[in-house]
Amino acid sequence: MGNLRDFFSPVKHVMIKEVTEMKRMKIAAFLIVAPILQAIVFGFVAVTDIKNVPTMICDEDNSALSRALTDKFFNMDHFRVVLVTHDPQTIEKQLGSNRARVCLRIPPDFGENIRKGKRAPVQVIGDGTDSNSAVQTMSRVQLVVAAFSGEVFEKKLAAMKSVVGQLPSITMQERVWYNPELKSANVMVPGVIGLILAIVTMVIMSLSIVREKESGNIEQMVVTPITPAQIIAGKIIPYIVIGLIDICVVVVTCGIIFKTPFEGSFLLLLTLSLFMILVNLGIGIYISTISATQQQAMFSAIFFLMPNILLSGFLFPIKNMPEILQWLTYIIPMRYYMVIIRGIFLKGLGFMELLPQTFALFVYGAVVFAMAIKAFRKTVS
Amino acid sequence: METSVKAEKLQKRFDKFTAVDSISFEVEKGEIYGFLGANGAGKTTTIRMLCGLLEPTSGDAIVAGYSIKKQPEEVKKRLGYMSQKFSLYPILTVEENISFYGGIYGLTDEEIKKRLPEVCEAVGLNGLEKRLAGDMPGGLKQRIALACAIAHGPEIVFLDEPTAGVDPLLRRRFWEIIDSLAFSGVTVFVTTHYMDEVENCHRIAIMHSGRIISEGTIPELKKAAFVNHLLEVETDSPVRAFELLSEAKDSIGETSVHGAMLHVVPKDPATAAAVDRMLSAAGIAHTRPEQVEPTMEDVFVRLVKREEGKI
Amino acid sequence: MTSTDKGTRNFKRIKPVFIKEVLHIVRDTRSLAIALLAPVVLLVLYAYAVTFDIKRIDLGVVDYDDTAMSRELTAKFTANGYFELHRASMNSMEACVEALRINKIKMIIVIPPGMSSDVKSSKTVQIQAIGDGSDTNTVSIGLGYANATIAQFSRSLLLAQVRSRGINPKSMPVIEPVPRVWYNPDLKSINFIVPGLSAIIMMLISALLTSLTVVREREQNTFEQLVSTPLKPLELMIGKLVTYIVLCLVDVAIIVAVSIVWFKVPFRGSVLTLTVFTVLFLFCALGLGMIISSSVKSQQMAVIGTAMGTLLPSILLSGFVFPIDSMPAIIRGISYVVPARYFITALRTIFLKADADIASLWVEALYLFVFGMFFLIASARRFRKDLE
Repeated sequence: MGNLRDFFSPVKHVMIKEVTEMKRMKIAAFLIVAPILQAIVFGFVAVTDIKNVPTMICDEDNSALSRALTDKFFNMDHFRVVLVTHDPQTIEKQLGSNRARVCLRIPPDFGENIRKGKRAPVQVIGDGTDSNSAVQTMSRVQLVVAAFSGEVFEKKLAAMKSVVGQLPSITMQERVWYNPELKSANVMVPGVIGLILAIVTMVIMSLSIVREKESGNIEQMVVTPITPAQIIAGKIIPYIVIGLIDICVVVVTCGIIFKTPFEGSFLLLLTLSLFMILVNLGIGIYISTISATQQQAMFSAIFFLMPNILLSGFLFPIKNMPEILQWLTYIIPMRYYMVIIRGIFLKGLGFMELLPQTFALFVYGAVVFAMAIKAFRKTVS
Repeated sequence: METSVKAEKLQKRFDKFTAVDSISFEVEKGEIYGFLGANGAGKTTTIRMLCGLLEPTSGDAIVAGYSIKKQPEEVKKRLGYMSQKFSLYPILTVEENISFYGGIYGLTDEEIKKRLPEVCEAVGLNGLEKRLAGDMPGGLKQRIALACAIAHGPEIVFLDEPTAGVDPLLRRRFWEIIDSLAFSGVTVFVTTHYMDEVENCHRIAIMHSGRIISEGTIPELKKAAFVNHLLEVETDSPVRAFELLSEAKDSIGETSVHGAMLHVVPKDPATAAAVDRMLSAAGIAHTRPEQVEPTMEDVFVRLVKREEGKI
Repeated sequence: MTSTDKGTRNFKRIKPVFIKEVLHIVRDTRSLAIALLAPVVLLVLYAYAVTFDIKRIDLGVVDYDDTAMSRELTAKFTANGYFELHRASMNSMEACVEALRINKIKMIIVIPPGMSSDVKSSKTVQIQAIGDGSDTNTVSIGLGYANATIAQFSRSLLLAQVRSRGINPKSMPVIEPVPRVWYNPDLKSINFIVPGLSAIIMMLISALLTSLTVVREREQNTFEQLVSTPLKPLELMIGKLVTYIVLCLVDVAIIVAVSIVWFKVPFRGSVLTLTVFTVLFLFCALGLGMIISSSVKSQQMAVIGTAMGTLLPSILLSGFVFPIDSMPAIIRGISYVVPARYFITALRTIFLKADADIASLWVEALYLFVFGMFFLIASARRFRKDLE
């Protein structure tokens, strides 16, 4: 018992110093306020559902049927019709100058073809510059056209019903679980917590150690009986606490603003987040040992952070990446955390169901931390 | 007298380079022991070994009763160290800086509370406890650093170039503090390359290329360097005079320039007259050669030259 | 004194600042390596990782009907590569629900018992599609695919029925959408990423580095020394800016070269327009960096400030990945003050669209110019005040 007290007495003083510095530099408030802003912006912005696409319709037919099809594009969330024209010359101008992103071109014989029961092609011209939106927008236009086609088809069938009688049909009933309205914010907000933890516990922490190295304070500490483990403990505990506070704050704020559901156990979330924080801190310490200046540390941290964002499944589904990249994602710690945090938020997963991810983070954390402490011990001596 | 530091054949090699070459010395409790030497002479390496920061390649030292090789952790508890680039936390107050170091030396909160006023008193920081360290002028920063180094009441303090970049008046004040510290029984081990400062030390070791080439009190060192007193001549054209006298090195002895002064290490009692004669003959206006007490700078230069001459 | 004389003298004083900054960057090998390598690594990562094109969605099928027809429908789901049937043996509802919970599958299709007999007796059959809403993107697209697959299956059954009742289905009208993609016909996401990434990298290098440069000098007390020389604040600032402008231009050149040579991104505009926009944008980025730099006290704060004040908005509110049109009105409003928005629009046009369209970019150019001047003047004023 006495030993434990001996261990923590110097640690306490490192912590006090760390917190006082944060307070004086007004970083503490920043570390709490910035994440909230970040979460809110992400919740609003990182919407994967494409909406309000500037759309133009070039109706060369101008028949009742072509106008009926045109009408379908009004009052839809996905499209914002900016221009209805009869002149095909304007298409290039509109798309070229970014005024419209997609154009539905109805050829002159459209109505005629339908009446005759022929195939009636319509052109969907998309601006491929924004390839991802283009894919979604164009398939959305095609769905609208297909639905219209179905209507025309049904009308014709209905006219024939007297001849052919009752016909079968298969319909689909959609049900979305865990996030019935498919709100992007519900998925983004938990993801953002992973990002925030990485920034607070990895980037800021690595800078904080390098600063002491730059100023020579670390050397001064080493001559004291304090051990490297105690220095590290004293430096990381405030960041762990801030990380956990950030989680609480983001969960509450986003719960209010976005009505983000929280199905699982909050205690479990905090516990498993500890593993992620530990991994981040390990990486942060490691970066600080290999960096001589704060600039280097920051660059290295950002360099490490980027793949964490890109390859973790936070924004882009891992399943769609090339196989090599998919393999690479296994060494991205945030990958595991994304499953944990989204699972707890939206599905209410329990510890047993998240065991594989937790285990992965645990192993990762243990390895990284051991490496970091070893490297740290080496730099200080 | 109690022995505070006892080094025996302490050696440190980095690859092929020998930074410290089996040096031995003893420092008594309450003594101010100075390490004098040029940059790269091995002063800092020695101090780092004595503090338990570097493990010696061979040899050992007993510091505050513990071996730096076998019990470096025990040694660390009993000493204070103020490194060359000692840096305070600028946005912490004076008091917070001192408490921090006291705390990481393992003092309890009560001990820190008790110690704070004592330390501030000792280094003359009373009334400044609540000010931010970053707002303090350089000389005061030095004292805060010292306060941090002695916060835990160490038996020995190692000061590595403590007064670098501090103005002379504050330097004097600093040495007064060191004096009183030693008087209270703390052993002070200090490195410097300010020759005038060395005079504040009770005993001095002169280091050169990793070895202690001479050791003792100031009179002892002076005796070791010079048989006789020095001759001092002031002149308008020291460069010409120096050239002239250097040529006659074999008959009159070695000459060195100190501003407008020339110092001659006399060969024999007749040298004074010989110098006077030679300068007059060359038409160089000068004062009469007078016997003076050698300064530490003379001693240092002389000893180092002799050492190099041997090699 | 003629103005040229004055100009040369000013330049003479700027040069040493420039050299010092260059040395600073060059000596710090790792930072330099990262500054030059980062664009390439990010480019490669983004090029392959960023895709909203959803394929091979993990699907579980609970087939209560278990007839030739239900199996045919199941086969249709996997036929076009949109879905991947996850373990055919997983045929119980409980197993599928559990799999959905732990992310083994993203969707479940439930085929009701008696489907084929109902179809034969011309009834309406309802198929249930259950999606995992915790992956909104995959599921909203997956449900669309499922809908289309079922509609197609339904129509083919229908046509078979119509045919069996003696009517020629050829006379049924079908409206056929013919998709055409302009500017980026293969819809390669790299073509979309490159311009945006250039902007992000430039923000990263210019804003972040400049924001650090002044704080660092202040932290290391070299600032006072510089101030005591006859060097004017403006000259000091220009000396620093020129360095980062050069570094950024090199980075942009690397990005453009790699993307054209390696990723075969078309470059249809002119180098001149590209340079003009790059420089205009750089003024904005550098100005912002300078403003942050002179308003914070530590490098740590500079990093946080730049990340929050410039990087994040540039990534999120510029249309780099998330289309601005889809954002809520307030956020769309905010995006108008994010310079990266204009730069990215301009770059995409320069890269992919015809030269004639570049004329339409004057609005973007004007915005960037106004922002750039505003930031630069504001930062110069702050900078001067800071020094005094």
